[in-house]
Amino acid sequence: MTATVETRGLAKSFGPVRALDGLDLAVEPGEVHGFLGPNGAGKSTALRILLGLMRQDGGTARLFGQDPWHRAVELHRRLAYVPGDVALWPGLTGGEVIDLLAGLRGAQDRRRRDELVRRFDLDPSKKCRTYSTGNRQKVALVAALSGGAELLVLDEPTSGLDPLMEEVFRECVAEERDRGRTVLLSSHILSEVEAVCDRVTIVRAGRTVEAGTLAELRHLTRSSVVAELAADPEGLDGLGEAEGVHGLEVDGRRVRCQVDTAGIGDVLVRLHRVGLADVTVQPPTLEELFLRHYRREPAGASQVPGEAVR
Amino acid sequence: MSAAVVAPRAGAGTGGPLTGTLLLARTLLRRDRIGLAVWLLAGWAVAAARAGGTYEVLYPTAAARQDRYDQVMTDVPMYLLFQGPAYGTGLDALLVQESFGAATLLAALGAVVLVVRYTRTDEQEGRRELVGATAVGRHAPLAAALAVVGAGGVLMGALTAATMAASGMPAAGSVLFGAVVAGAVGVAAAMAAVAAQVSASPRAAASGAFALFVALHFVRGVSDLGGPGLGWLGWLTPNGWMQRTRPFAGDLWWPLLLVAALAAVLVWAAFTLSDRRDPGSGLLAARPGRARAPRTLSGPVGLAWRLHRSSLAAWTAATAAVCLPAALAGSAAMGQYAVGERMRSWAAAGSVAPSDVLFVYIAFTTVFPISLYAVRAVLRIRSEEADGHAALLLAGPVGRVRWAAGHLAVALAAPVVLLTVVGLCFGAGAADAGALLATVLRLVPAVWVIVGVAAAACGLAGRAAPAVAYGALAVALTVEFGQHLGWPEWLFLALSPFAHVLPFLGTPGAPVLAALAALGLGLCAVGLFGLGRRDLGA
Repeated sequence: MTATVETRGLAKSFGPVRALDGLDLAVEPGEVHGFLGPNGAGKSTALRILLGLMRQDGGTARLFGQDPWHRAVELHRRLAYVPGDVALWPGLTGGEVIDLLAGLRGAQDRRRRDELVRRFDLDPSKKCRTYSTGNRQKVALVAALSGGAELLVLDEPTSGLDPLMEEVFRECVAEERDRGRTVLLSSHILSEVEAVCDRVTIVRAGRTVEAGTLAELRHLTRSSVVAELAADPEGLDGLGEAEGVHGLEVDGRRVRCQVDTAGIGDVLVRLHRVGLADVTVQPPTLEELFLRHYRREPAGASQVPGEAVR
Repeated sequence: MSAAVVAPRAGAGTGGPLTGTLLLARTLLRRDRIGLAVWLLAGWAVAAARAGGTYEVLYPTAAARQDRYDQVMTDVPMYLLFQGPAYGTGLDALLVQESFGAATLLAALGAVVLVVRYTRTDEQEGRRELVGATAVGRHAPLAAALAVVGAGGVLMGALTAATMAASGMPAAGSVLFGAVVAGAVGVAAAMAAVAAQVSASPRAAASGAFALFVALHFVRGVSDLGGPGLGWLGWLTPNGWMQRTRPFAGDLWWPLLLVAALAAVLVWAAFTLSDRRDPGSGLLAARPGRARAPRTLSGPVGLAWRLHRSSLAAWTAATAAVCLPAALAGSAAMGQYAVGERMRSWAAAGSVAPSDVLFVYIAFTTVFPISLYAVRAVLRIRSEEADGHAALLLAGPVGRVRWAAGHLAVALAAPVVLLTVVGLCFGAGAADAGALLATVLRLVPAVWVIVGVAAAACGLAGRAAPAVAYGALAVALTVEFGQHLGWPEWLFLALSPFAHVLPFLGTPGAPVLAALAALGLGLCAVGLFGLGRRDLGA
């Protein structure tokens, strides 16, 4: 089966700035795919190339197996897009923009549209000039969700929404998945990605650094173990050197360490031998995963992370 | 300097509505130093450049000056309409007669654009909120805008006066004319300040305020054209007050008091109104609209029409409002002018009735503002791209050509519509309405060339498109003026499409018109081709 979205070695430069530097991305039909990265990692540039608004300098990009630059119009019948910074025509009302954008793709589902307007608590009769950032985002979301597109390309769609509306957004994405739609969700809000995405691609400085299901990614990382021992930790000699154990700290009877997921069982057995009063094992959050990639500057990195790239 | 700095800082502690004005004014000066400098230099150049010596060369003898005076006052009525009357046969008075219209209009244009940019545009872009959240008084942004533009006006007036006096013109008249230029800035800035409070959008505020200033200029023109019986009409406009200070021909100072009083009242009104509205919206704004799109708003072309229709309607109405009164007022006066030698030779060249020459001349000058409108319509392609609106449409099944074509269609149709209005309005006062309309419509292909240049710039130049498009129009306008100053004719023919349709150089033939139209449409095609091939930015 062809991937819905596929890029290989995608590269794009703006003058001296290298926005994309070998980006690999694969979104399978029917999945909700998180596209994660800090500001300026090249997410929006990649999406603009996939939408045929820009042409890459190197590598390939495919939408539904076809070239997004040359077949833009026919491919766009099958997708809907919500930009990161939604700019609407100040003199049109929200309702007019929704109908215009959804209508471009053909038949608009009127019932779905009205339902979405109600759920997002949007007043469609106001001029776009008077909308807040969040309300402009709602307009773009309603337009995208009511058009019946096979693929939704969402570029940080909730950055202006309040928590209630974020919840509505998550419900809507789940509904779209249930209908068999594919979603490519660019974001840097980790809780959102954890809540709605099946698979994740993490980018940094225009390059893919990690991709897979959340379970797979977690497998690569460490859980944190905090234990209160029942006796003095004399039997723990050598734990710090054991395979898969990192950053051991012993403070009286309190023990903390990071453990590779594969080594958790061994560590717990050894702690149990000494005697456990209390133990907490925390699986890695996406946040830790994310920070692991971004906290450290890789040796010889030429890019400045966070450099504005659009 | 130090006193000016210390006083507002002392006030800063009290936290009044003007707190922070000076700081904001300094920020504006720094942020917009290029725009301010361009306006200042252009205004100064138009107001005072001719004091430099070319004028003596043009009218060296008393007879030549008398001839010029007669031209203005009796032979060629468009001078009264566009520039105003001469109050004396002296060289200085004649020079000021010729500079007055262009100098006040240019000064006012810059003042309006800058005041609106510093107030409503800042609010729309969200910069006002950023500033408003700091220790800045409620009225400080408007006060800072008026202070910066007002200071620019004073400087423009002072430079003008100094240049004139330095070139040997009487000091009193020089200062008076400098004060007139500064007064035009003051009145226009105050009008813009009020418009910024009232109108629904920044665009409407700027075009509304400047249109009012231009309209008042022409009310004054109709008054001057209509003779002593209509003299009172001119006294109803600030443009008339500034005109009637008679620099170098009796130097009347007191009408400037009226100008200052009007500006003060308008500024007071602007501050009062600003208390009654929320930042980002005008008093006339924010009526709710339709919750659903009408059938006409169903695609990119429908959207383009929707985005352009109100400005096109406003331009159509404004064109009619300027041309129809001019035609009716001019019609009565034409009989007397038609017998003049100059009129008859121009009429022969342009193959119109001698009594219609005035109208053909005015109609020709309307191609410049009409081209300006058409260029703005084309550049909407670029601004839609830059604002991120284009991406919304192009992410749907809309090709780039279809997206841009709507805006281009409006830009190509606008000169046809507007010049038809010009032709019909003057036709109402003309001896031969049909010939007049035909003459005016022959101007359309020349405007299309400018439209084509703007379209090609949008397709190939991207960010530089506005500079290229306005630059082409400015070059065409400059060589048109240069023509009157005796620049070589090939320059005019090579750099201005309007040279090829100027009625007084003979009626343009079908091959010329077809070539201009083909050039314009070909450049549009180049622009569409370029748009399809380049990256679209945000």
